Amino acid sequence: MSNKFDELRSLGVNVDEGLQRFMNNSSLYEKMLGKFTDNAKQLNVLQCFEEGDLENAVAKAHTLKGVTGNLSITPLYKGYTEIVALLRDNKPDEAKKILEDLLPVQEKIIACLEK
Amino acid sequence: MEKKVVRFLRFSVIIIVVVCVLIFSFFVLFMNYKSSEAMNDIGSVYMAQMSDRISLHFNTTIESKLTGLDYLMDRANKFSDYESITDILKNGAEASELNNLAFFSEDGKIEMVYGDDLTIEDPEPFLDSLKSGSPKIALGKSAGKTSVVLVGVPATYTMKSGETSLALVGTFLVSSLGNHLVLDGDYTSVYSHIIRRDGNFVISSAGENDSNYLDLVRDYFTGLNDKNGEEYYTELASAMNEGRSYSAIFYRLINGKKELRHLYCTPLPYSEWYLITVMPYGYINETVSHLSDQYIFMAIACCIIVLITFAVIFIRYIKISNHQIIELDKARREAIRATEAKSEFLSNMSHDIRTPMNAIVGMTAIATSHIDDKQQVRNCLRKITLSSRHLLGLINDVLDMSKIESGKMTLSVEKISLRDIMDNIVSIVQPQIKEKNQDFDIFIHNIFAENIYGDSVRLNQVLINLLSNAIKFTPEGGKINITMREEESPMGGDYVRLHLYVRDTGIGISSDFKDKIFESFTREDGHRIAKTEGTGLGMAITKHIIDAMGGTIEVDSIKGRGTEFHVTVDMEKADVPEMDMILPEWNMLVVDDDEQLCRSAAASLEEIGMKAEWTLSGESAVTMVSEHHENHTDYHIILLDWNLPGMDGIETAREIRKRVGDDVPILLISAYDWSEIENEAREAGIVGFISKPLFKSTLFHGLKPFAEESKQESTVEKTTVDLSGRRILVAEDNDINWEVAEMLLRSIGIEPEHAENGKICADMFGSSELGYYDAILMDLRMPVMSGYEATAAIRKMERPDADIPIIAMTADAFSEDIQKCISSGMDSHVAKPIDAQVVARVLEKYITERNSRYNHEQQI
Repeated sequence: MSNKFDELRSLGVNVDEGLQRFMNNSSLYEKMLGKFTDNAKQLNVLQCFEEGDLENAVAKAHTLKGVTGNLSITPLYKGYTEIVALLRDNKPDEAKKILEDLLPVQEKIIACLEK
Repeated sequence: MEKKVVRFLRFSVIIIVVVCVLIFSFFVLFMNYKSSEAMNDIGSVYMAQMSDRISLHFNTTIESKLTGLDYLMDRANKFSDYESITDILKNGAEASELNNLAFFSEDGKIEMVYGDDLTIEDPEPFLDSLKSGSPKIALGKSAGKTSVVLVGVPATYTMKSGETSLALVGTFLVSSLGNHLVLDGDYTSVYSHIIRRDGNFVISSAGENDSNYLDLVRDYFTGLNDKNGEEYYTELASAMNEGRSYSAIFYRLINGKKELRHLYCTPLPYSEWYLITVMPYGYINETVSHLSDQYIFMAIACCIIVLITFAVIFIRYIKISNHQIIELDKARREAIRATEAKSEFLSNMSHDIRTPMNAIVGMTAIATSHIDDKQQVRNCLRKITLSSRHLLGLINDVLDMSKIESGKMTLSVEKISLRDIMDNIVSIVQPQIKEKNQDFDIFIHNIFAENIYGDSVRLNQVLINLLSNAIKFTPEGGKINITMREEESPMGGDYVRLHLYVRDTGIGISSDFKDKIFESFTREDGHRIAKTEGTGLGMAITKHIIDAMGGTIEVDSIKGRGTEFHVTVDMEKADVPEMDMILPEWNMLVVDDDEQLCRSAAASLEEIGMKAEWTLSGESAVTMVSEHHENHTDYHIILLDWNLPGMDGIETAREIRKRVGDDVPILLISAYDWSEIENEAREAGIVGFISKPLFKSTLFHGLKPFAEESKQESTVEKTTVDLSGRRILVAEDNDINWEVAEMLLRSIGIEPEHAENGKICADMFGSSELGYYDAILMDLRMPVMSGYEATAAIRKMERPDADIPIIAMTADAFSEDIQKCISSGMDSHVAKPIDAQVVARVLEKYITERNSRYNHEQQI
């Protein structure tokens, strides 16, 4: 388990802050991280972009921002924060570009979590 | 010692003067002697030359006469008859201006040829000479009265009487000889006589009345060396007899006065006559005496110059040696005083050290015997701690001083922050100040270089020494303040001149002691000081440290009024890789009764990008805040001094809160430890504290939290909030977020309930018992019904608790979102990711507020 945390740390996840938020209950934190993988798969922001449904894209990105923030998955939290901000500024192209950069990071983290 | 030196000096001076005078007197005398000797020599040579010339003249004159006679005889010899011969001789005598002409027979008979009758004086030598065939001259008288010179040449003529003549004798006038020889000194003061061997004058000049020169020599001459006339007479006579020249210097008595004369006597040829040449020494002597006057003058002048030089050197030397003696004496007295001070110090110290040591030993013994009495042991340990700390302080001082005195103190220069130093000092001295109930303040002005190179430990030591002295010697309730100021350093742009002032209103220092304050082992005498503990080393250490730093320390004090220490030191600036200390362009209000502080704080705030106004009293601050509020140009943050005259900081804060509400954060600035007033301050609406002194970085770090999260209050706060048993409805569609929220809320004792979306939330609230939920945490973006809609629905419900606190929980921190939250009826908002502290605090605030309102309404 601690190996997984170390791996997450190397991917930029602020595991210590997350654990602190979960009152150092590492199993609960891990459980929540597991739930995040489901969440992330359901909330396909890229699909919304492709369908041109920007409103949905904002909603989904926003949700992901909140979740990644709570779980201290810092790289994704930063990315979604930016995406939300750009969408609000009506800059969907730039937002999409960041999303495309962000998704490989997300895949890596999910892959790590699913191990 | 001094007497000895003076005696030696006096003796030396006398010796030098005497030696000088002797040397120069000898010199003068010797030169005089030498010069008169030289003058005599010169005189002799001159006289000899003179005599030679005259005698040459004489010789020439006689020889011309002899040649004339020879010529006559040549002509006469052509004839043999008496008549013809005498005719030729007569004519010839007339032509050659002879006075007489006569034949001399062997027996001395004179037969006149021409002129008057002739008599001869002293005929023997004359005839003897002629008999031996040599021409000769002699003195005679013509016609019994006219003195003539007889010139005789051997000649054999038959005389009238029939005898054969011995010689032919011609004469000429003695006076003409005199004129011819220029014996009289018409042009010079030298004159000559011609005398016969017996001393009778042939020709006398310069009006000598006596007929015999030798008699005159005997009667009127006196010598230089007690030689009398007789001796001169003998010398002259024998020289004349031997036919030598004679030279002498003598005094001649004339009319009872002595005159110095030089005499030279030489024999004249063809005669028994002598030429006497006399030179009065008057004028030559004048020259000589003038010369010797000059010698004397020069000698005296030289003597005086040498003496003056000696005197100057002596005086200089005496001055220097006097100075040295004084210095030596001073050093000796100082050494004695230092020894006295040290021994006094030792006796004081042994007392000072023994007192805490005794306490430690005694207390340890008491603690041991009461080992089971916890209270007693604790009490003893406390006293032991105090005493040992005091002892440690004493020992540290003594060691420090000995280190300094042995020259082993070195500064370890490193980069230091003046802010850290001041913070450190404030925290160290605060307890002491509080204990003595003194009024303490810190001022800083013009600090443009906060980071410098220096020895922080030593700088701290200096400030702590000064401050603890101020605290020690200032009575309870007195004022103490420390001021820090910077200015351009004369050492150049890389340096900064740091001024530190420590002022107190204490007992002051007497002016006598002020001079000694920085010396080791000194403490002012007096009852007040005797009661105060200390080694008396603090100021000496302080002075040494400042000296080592190349700075100065001055003290200004009035006894009974207070003291000010002023430290000036040049420090090298540390190049600061300062992070960008920039904060939003907020309007700030600084309230402090010290105008300098206000100005410097305002300047610092402007440097970090803010706009600052300042005022000097609480009352005017309230007015200014109200005005700004009315104009909707509220200050963003107010910095309020705690210790204001009139309305103090807390009262002012309370008044501001009353007038303009809770929106504007108020920070209290204080040089004191605020733990005691914290509760009161928070109640009055103060959200945080900033400690004095207000360096730029202090302000920046104090205000940064407000810029980063303007909604969050000062991070200083860490209050534990009691919310146990409260029921909170959490509207959150996301499982993870719900789990996190649930866990956090449970950790602070709250019972959370979950609503998956806005609709469910509104339904759950609508169907709950009155007052069942204490608050709602509302996610904004939810499926089915958003947070905004759910809030609006709840607020529309016709039930008394429809004003339940609804707090938005959102990952968005944009102000428009927040605006939207408020306009849709929500009370506040918290940001995701969730911070338990923040949530707890916000919940507590709204729940307590509502409860009080609720209870109040119920009572009505």
